[in-house]
Amino acid sequence: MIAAEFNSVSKRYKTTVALDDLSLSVPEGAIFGLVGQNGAGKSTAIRILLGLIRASSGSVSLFGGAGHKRVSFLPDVPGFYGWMTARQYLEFVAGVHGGPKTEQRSRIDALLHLANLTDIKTPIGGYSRGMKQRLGIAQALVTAPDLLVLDEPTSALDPIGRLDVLNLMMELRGRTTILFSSHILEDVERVADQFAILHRAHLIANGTLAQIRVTAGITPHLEIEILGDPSTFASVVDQQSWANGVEVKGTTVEIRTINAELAMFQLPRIATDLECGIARFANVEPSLEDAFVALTRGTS
Amino acid sequence: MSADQTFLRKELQEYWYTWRMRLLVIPVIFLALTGPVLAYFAPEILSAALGMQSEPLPEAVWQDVYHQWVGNLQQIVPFLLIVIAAGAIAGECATGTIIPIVAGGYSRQRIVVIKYVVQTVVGIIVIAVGTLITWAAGLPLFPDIAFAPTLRITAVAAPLVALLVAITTLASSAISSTLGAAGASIAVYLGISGLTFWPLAREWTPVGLLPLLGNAVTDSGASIVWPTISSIAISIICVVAAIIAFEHRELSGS
Repeated sequence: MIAAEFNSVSKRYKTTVALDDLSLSVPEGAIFGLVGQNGAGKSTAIRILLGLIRASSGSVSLFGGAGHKRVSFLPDVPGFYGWMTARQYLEFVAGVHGGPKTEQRSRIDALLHLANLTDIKTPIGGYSRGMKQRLGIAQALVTAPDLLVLDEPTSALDPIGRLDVLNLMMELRGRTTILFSSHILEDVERVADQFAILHRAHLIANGTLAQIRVTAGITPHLEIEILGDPSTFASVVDQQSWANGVEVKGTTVEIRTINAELAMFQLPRIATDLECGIARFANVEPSLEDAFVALTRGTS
Repeated sequence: MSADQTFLRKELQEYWYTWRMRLLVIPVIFLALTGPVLAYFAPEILSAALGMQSEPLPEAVWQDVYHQWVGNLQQIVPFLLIVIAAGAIAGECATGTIIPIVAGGYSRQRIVVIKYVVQTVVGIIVIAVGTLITWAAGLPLFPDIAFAPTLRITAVAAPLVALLVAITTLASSAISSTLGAAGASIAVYLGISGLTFWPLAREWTPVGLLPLLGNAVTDSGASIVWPTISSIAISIICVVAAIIAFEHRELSGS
């Protein structure tokens, strides 16, 4: 089942196109990362999905229009009622969204513990930004949502807080669908299993990391830094049946292969036969950042 | 507790725990307590100000207590109500507090209606209590002070409060700035006040409520029917318009 769907969604302001013809599906159960630079259209897409702003054209749907599903949202800069305590706020959010009453109290206790706010009895108005962000995440989870939408959830956190949030998202895998946006590609790659890359209001790639790499034209490859003549080494490697492209970059030879395992066995032997040394040998898996750079290079 | 009850309780608590209650209640109680004293000593104060040569001024009577209070109701309390109501929706949009509530599926329509009802009911209660305090504070100074004007004043003030809050709720839904919403609402109130010289407007529209407040001190027999009906009708229109405006409002957060 599809948890969230965008159908040719566009958003235009007077002279600016914030989102252009976005079509995208978020499968139920996925951790879906929406990435892009600031201003790429991530927050706009999320806010249209949640009905906070209107699309200029196109449509969105949540769970195919099923009304009984719970959705919760953590904005990039969450706003709170400063006069409430954390517990009062969670009780309020749970009450307004009508979560299962019997579980509310225990869930609130657990979430306050998770947010490290159990012993804080002062009003939210006096909280630090990190405390507010943690409370925001607790707020987003208090209704046990079927779809959890997070807009830049780690951007305001210190390294430990950021790690906690990423771990929490990974713990939720399989229990709820998560759609989150971030410009911190390392975070997205760490937790998401599906990705969409927005660039200048356009969707430029979408799918698993492997699919994104294919779209970006970058694939896993082997890199060998040769002590000797890299050109000779490269020409011999290129004649092998498993080789699918060889490129010399200074003293480094970049090898694309259809059988990485076999290549890793045979490359040291080729180097030995040619009396070359190996300074470095790496199996390079291009990251999301590599794919992102490849896809957006020249257009930024 | 249902979702609506939860939101209603939050609105009431917000009134109680934040500056709103203090902004409204403290001035109203102050005015209600000091009004009778001012009315009692007004002739002496005026005589002293005008000098020995002036004609002696008549002694204060209990009606002056209510006239003093009605003056406050016309000139001060509406501005307090407007300032408070202006932030009801615009303030929540600006700070982003309403975003998780709307994103989670709670109806925008209910938000507007509950906020309107709470502001109106609290406003009416505060004015009713203020009028009662005025009467009670006037008793030691004017033992013959009548009680009936408290009911008449509250009855006339209630539709006026409902109207002012509705106009301000509409402004708060349609205008992104709290200050802008308050300014627009104050302009409308000043416009209403400015039309009191026009007999037709006094008879058929909410404009008539302002002079009726003064008439409520002594039972003048002037009918409050059309000003009340027209106020309620315009209030309903404003609340519906506020709902439509808020439904179309883009919530981008803080």
